[in-house]
Amino acid sequence: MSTPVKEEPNAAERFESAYNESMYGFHDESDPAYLTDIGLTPEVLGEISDEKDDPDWMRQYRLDCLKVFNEMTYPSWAPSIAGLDLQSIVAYVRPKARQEASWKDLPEDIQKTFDRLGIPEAERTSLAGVGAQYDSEVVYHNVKKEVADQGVVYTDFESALKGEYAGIVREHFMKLVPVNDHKFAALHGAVWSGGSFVYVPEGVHVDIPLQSYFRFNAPGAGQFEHTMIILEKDSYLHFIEGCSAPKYNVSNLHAGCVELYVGDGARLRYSTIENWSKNMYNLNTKRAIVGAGGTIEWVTGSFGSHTSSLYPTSILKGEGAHCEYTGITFAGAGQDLDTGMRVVHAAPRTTSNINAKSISKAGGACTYRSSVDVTRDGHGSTSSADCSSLILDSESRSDTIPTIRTLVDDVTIGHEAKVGRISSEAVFYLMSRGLSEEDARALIVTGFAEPIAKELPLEYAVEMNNLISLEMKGA
Amino acid sequence: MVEDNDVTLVLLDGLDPLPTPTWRRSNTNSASLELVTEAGSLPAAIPTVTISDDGGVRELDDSDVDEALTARFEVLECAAGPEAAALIAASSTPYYLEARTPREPALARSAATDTPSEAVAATQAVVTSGAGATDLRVIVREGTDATFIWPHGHNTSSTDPVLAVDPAATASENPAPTPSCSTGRRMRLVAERDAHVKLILTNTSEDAAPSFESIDLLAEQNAHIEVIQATLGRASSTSGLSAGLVGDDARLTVRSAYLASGTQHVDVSYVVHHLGARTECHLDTHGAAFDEAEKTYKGTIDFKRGCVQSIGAEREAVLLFSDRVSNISTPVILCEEEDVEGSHAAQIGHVEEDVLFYLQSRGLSVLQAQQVLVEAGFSPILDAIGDTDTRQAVQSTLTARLRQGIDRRNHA
Repeated sequence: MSTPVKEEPNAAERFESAYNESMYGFHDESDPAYLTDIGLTPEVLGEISDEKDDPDWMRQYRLDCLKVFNEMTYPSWAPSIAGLDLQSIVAYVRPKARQEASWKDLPEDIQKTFDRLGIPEAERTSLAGVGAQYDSEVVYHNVKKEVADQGVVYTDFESALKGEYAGIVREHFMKLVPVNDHKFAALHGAVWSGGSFVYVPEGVHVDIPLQSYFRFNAPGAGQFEHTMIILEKDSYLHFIEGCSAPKYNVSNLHAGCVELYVGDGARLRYSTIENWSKNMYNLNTKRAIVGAGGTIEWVTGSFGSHTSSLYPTSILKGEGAHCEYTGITFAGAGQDLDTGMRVVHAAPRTTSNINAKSISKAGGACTYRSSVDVTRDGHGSTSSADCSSLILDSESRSDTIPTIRTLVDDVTIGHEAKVGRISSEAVFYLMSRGLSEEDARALIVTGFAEPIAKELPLEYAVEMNNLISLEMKGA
Repeated sequence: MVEDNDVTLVLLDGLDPLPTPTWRRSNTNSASLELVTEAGSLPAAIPTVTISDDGGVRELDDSDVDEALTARFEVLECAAGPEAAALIAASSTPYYLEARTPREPALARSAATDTPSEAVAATQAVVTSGAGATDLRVIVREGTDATFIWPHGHNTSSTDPVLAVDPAATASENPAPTPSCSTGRRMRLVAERDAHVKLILTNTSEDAAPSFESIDLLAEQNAHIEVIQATLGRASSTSGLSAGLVGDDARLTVRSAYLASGTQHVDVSYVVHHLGARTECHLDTHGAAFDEAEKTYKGTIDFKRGCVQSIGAEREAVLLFSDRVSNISTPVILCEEEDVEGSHAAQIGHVEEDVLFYLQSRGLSVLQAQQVLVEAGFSPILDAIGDTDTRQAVQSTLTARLRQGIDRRNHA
């Protein structure tokens, strides 16, 4: 009788094994305090409004958004969401925790979760404030006294909606991302929960970053946080967003919304390390509007999700406004990550720089999709874009689909892109120096991602490199 | 449809579709044209072919065209889109050409004396077709060197076209010729193994009727297709090219130039599918846009799985001369093969003041300086047109339209 041959695990299995052993792949027993029925109905929205004690205008707004959601169709050009059954998603999951300002006051399992993710330590060592969301609610929110004393407001979104900032919130809520922008903007408006509100007064520089961290735990649920940041004239903020989730066999959905208002002369850096598990459908919407002389900087690392459709958009509304985009996307086995950015030059002498990289392996699919628009007000604007894509094997794919549209003549727009493989000469050289082939390829890919890593605070650059190493196992 | 006596305007949608659509708001997924037709359809425009003396090109009649040959053309994707393909098929009958000339001079023997003859010149054919629909199918046999020239329209009769038009007038004030019927032309070309084909496609028509064209190519092993294209007509137009590099070592080179002025819509689209190993494509496009023109350029390099060691490079450079012009550029790379090199670049801009100043300091007028700078981008295309008559027609149309457009900009 012959000895059965043990099959070697494929790339997806190797990754899953490594992910589950990593700091992200664990999960707590899902035991929420409350969860809505599955599906998207007016009754579910009513439950959410009751749970959150929404003001009347928000109750009605949610219902209006649901109507728009039901009428709109999903765009045909976007990545497939055939595996997502929206009527099986639980829109709202309230954990057994109130919002606390001290980690010690949280339930033990939630506290341990964020400990394992390194959030409390990061807050102690390098952050001015932290908001931590667990499933649908913010469970921890704190800002350092010296930052609050400068007049900086950093609070959970529900508090901002109902407290002293209610007027500002209502004035700005879903104005940058209107309900009819696309189907999942409408969904967000209907079922949003959690998120943060940040306000930085004129002239204030917040020298240490603020961070929001989003952790999914419940299988088959959705997370729909809303983040709103308002920077007054000549102010500065670095905001960091992190996210992760354990992997389940059912789909989860993330359709958050980020609205950023950057005043004249202000500068906002918005960094994201996205590491959702590979059962997640990530259909997030992020948009910034920038005043005269203001700057928006996007730093984005997309590593997780089963399917992503993510295009941070910058509207350069004031003369001399500037947008900087630095991003990397890594698609492994089973992933379809459609990411990129949009910039609208809607004022004179606005500028944008785009540096986008992508890596595809083990059957993953990366699409870089972008749009640079210069309107009739965009006289004297300039834009340059550089996109590089690495394909690590012939099971994977990488597409680059940029569009440049100009309506005036006195502009200077340049775009270039390259796609190719890891140089075999470079791998050979590193192996001749003693590295294994796997380590050599991982080192080259880390070098490829270096322009993004150097834009992040050290701890996040290390996290990003760890994610790359995780992805490269068995590559 | 709008009817005016016998003239019927028909909207043709879905022209030059992007292989992978994107945001609808980008207005680049496909184009549309309002065709001038006769009672809703295009008449058949039967081409006439002027063939070089070596006899390397012949027109095929029904007895030469069998199912196998027909099938070789049917597989070619229509770059202009399915609606355009259907319109051409419904309006015309296919017209076949075959090019067959040995490349090695020693192989060409005088039939009478069976002695080696002189080196044979490249085989050439000039295709002329009027307004209406033309369905042209060309097969270039193994090892054949052939050039095909297919002009659309002709220059104005004046030797100095500038004199015919008041340069200070806007484009809309210049009297446009009464539109005849629109032109829709489709060429399907199969280049067999080791063939070398040069295609010169020009549009210098003064006619006001919109036109579309679809150039559908297939290159077999080690075949090389070189396309020189000048889109300089006055009316709105779409020009689609789709190429399948199916054989190993097949190559495609496209050098093209376009002008868009007045209220023209000009859409130029290239799609190259790399299927064979070590295939190469190089797409190089230069353009200029004036007045209230709307111009769209789409270039797609598509690396299919298995096209190892293939190279695809694409470049578009456009100069804009009006603050009312609309320019869209969409350079796309689709890739499912690891071992390839793909690149694209797009430059959109205007003539820089400091460069103009430098040329003026050397004695050129503003108009001359601008014209020199713009024509510099077009000169590689002109140089590549081997045929003297065609090059002169393109050069004079280019010079005249550039001068008119730049003058209007300077007087605006």
